Amino acid sequence: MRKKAKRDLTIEQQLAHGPIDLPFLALVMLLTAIGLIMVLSASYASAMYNLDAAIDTGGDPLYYFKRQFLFAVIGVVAMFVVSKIDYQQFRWMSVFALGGSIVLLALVFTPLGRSAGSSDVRRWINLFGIRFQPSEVAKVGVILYFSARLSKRNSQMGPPKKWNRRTLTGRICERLDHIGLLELVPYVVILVVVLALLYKEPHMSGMILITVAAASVLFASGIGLHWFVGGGALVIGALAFLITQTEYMTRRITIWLDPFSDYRGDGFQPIQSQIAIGSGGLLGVGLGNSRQKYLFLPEEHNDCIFAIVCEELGMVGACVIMALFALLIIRGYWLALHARDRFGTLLIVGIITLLGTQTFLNIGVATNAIPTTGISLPFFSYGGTALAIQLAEMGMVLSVSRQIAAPKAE
Amino acid sequence: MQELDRKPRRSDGKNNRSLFRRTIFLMAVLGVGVFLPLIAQLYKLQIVEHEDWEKRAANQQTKNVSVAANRGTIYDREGRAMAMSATVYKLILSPMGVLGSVNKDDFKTADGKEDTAAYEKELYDRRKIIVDGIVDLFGYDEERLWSRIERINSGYEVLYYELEEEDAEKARAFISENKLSAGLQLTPSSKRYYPYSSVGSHVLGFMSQNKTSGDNKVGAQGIEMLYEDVLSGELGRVVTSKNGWGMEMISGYEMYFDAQNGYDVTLTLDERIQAMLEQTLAEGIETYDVVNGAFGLAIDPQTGAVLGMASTPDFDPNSYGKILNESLQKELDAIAEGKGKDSDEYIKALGDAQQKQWRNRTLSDTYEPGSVFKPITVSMGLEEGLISLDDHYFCGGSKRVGDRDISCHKHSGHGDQTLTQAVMNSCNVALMDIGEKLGPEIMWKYFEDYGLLSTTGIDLVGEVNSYFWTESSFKGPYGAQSVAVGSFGQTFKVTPIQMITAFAAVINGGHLLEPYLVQSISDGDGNTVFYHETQEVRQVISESTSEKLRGILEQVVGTPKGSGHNAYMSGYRIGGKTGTSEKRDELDNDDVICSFMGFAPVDNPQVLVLVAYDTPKRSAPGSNYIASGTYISGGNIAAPMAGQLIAKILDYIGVEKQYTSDELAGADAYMPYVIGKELTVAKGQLQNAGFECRTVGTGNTVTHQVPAAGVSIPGGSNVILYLGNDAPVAQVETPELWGLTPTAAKVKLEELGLFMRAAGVVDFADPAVVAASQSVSAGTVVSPGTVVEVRFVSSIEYGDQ
Repeated sequence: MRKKAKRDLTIEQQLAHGPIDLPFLALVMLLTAIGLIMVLSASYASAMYNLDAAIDTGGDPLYYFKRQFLFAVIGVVAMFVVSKIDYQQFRWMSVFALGGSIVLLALVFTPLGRSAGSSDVRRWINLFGIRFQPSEVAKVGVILYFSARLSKRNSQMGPPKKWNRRTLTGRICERLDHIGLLELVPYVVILVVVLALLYKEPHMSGMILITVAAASVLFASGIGLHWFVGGGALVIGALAFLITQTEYMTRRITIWLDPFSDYRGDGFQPIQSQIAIGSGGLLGVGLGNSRQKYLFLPEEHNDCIFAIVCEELGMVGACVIMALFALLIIRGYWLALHARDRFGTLLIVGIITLLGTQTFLNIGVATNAIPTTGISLPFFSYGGTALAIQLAEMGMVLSVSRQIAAPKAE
Repeated sequence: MQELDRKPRRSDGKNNRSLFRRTIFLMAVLGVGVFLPLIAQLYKLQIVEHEDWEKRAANQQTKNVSVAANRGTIYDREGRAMAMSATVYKLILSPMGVLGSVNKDDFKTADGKEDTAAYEKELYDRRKIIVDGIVDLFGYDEERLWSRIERINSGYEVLYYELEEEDAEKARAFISENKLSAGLQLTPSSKRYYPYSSVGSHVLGFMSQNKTSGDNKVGAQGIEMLYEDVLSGELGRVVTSKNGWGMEMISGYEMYFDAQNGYDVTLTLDERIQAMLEQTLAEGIETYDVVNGAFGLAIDPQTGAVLGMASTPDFDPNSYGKILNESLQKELDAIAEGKGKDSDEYIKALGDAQQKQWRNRTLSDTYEPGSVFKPITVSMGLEEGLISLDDHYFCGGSKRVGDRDISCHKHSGHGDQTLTQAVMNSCNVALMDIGEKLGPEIMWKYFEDYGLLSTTGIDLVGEVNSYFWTESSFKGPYGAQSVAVGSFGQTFKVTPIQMITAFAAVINGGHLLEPYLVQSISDGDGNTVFYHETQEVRQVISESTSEKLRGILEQVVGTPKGSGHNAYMSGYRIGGKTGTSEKRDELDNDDVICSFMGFAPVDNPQVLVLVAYDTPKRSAPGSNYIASGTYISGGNIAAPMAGQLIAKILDYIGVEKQYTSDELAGADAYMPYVIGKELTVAKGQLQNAGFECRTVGTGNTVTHQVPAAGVSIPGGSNVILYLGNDAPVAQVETPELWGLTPTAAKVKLEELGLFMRAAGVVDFADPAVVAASQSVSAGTVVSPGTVVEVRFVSSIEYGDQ
């Protein structure tokens, strides 16, 4: 099939064929490549000793790496495919994305849901031979839908709706509309549904990330700040309650402050993580030379992979990688600022905020700067589908970047 | 309601500005802000706390296997190994390993469930094999072993610390036969042996475990303790990496640190002299019914090298906890019978008894030196020129000092006496006169110079310092009495090692030396890494003063009236001083320490000994005699023992005997009848008759004697006592004596049981004097005990002037 000549395309189509943002792409590819290498290094021992009861590596030390590599290739392809899509199409897709996410989240509780390890936790499903966490999809679904809907906030808001002031309901509604509450109702409902499903799984870290991503989109779209102050206060209050009133959370905080109080138990992972990081020193023990990965550090190729990075590459290497993340995040927001329309901006803000939050929380946990939450490190942590979805999200950002007007050449 | 209307009509521009600002805000927070605390945390962990974490990492990631280093040997000065190590084995039980060696997964019922009963049975059987085996092989307490094997959280239960090779071989066979290597392990360790058992025990010390050494034994007393670092060497290590399950990693790194064997230590102690010293103490305790043990020292006065150091009760370092002393053990047995071995009283008494036998009294205890101190006071006066050998002293029995009469031990008084006689008589009044002349300032200076106010610095653990008056009270207005009694060695206390060190300075030309026990240290290849050179602390008195003192002290022993004459042994020029000291600081205590400090030969002292017996038992309270009738004093109890000891030591170190002409031409005396008598009694009788004796055979009762009773032989002859089953030979052949010196001729005859009567020019000091003829010609067969008259001539009759 021959390519259509450029003149035959509509303006929309022409815009969608613009160049993608190369710095952003380069950073994504670089981080993916480094992440792959680190998975190889970190998972080597675990794969060799066939440590994970749920996964039979057959003693092949490259087991995890091979699979991660495969998914990285799939993810990169997906990223390019997604970047080719005119992101304006995401507007109508978003409804289905959100609907699909909710369905998938619900499917977790059907026999399709696979329980890994402990039978109480249901986070995974198997669909068409692919095993993945619906929460990963739900993050994208929520961001897409929120951005799409919030981008129309101004244009669709014609003259304010007239409420019947003679009825009490009418007056209340007018008042609520005035303070901007009514506008929030659909978002809150969606969020509550999604969070409730995640809570059932249970999936604490997924809840945190979806809440933060949704909040960032709402925040950027111009929702009144007082809602965030109120919402923030509510969350802090809830957290304070949980920390002081539930044994589970109190314990988490105790362990965080003094991991050695339960050396063999809950404190083990934070301690081992800090031993890995601390023993790395300034320059590290060298790529591939981590000793903590030899069955000391749990989750060494998943949530704790950054500890192995610190051990092998030292503070210098860790800072370089953090700098790459920081650049990617800054470039992402830069793209958001230059996006062609509000939808593009909000979409990128959601995706990049998600990425940034995930990065911060993961590294924060690994270094014991914050209490333990099981959040993976984008591009690094082992998890094929998560990586593929992550790269597809980057594809969305790139798709938006195509429609940025090129700066006028001097 | 104006406001109500404004908001929805918000312009696009305004909205875009808000979008812009808020996105910038997010960019700042997530792109920069959140990374700052993370970098700070990384800096804290990786830079500030790096070493701490690295240590933790190394601790858990590496496996340290120690490689034993051989402990050095302790030799006496002749190269006899007094403490040596040999490889033994530790038998370690790992209850955890036993548990792990039975795999739970192997026991499943047909439907795949765990078969707990079968598993438990298998585990029980496995344990039973071990328990039965160990009980069978080594007689371990079965009940106790069962309780230990069920400590499943333990991986390290030491069943035996010191299995000898033979037993280890049995254990090894048992382990491999039953495939028990997961639960039982043999690791080599070392055991200390002391071939001479209790000889020199206080010097050598012993090895035991302490709070910090864990399973390993470390030196706990004596040289073993002081030279622990030198002897122990350095443990070697093999460091290998291990994974989180504790398994060694094949491809991991390995580092070897070679074990460094301990150095060998050579002592100045001589095992033979030490044994003689200990035997002398033991004999004296036995003979004189001594209650509180004894202590003794033998040093080389020219160097300060300690040749012997003994203290009773003593112990056997091979089993240092065992009470060696019979009377201590009897006391313990009495308590054990009365209260039981588990009673607190018994445990306390056992601990006390152990402490008592481990105590080295020669440097950990102090005593009043008594009259032994007198030569030191005299040396002060002679050195300062305040007294001279020509001085006369009058003793009327007591001297009034201040408001008190201080009496002499001879209450009737010694009358007029020269300085030498005063020392011979051990006259307190004369010494008080000297003390008065000296005054406190000079005396204090000499206390200091003789090293009596500070520890000697001997290289052994446990040395304490002396008890003296304070300097101000001694020199103060009320110090006169202290000066008076101090001049004859009372009311202050010094350690025996301080006393002998000071005394050595008196007789060796005035050199205060640092006493020492370690002569040299050498590494495994025999290279000497340390050699002790004589350490002179200071010159206290001049050579000439020292020479005068030696002369006086020879008189104390050599003159029949001298208080130390019981130490006299013909053929040996022995000098010395007796001492009988009370324990004034202990109330209601009439204990006395009888001591003798002696040296020989007088003209060139080779050995200086101190022998002291703590409290010979009085025949009745208040009596001055022991049950066998000996008057309790240093001269009667310590001097004879010390004299014999000195003679033995001189013989051993090869100092040629020097007979005075009087001795050689000693008047004939009749041989007493001593057959059937106890050896010590016989010796006493012979001594009284003016004979020396040597013994043949072993035993305590004299069975034969040469010559027979009633035979007249020259005084000073060395008669032979036969003990046990040994009997004199019937006939001997007379040796050829022509050309021999008097001494050599006498020795040669006495070896065969013949006796010499010297005639002619008899001058033992002149090597030119040789035998010219003999009354019984060479080759003639005679009976032992025959007296051969030998005529000596000076071979150089006309010396060139």
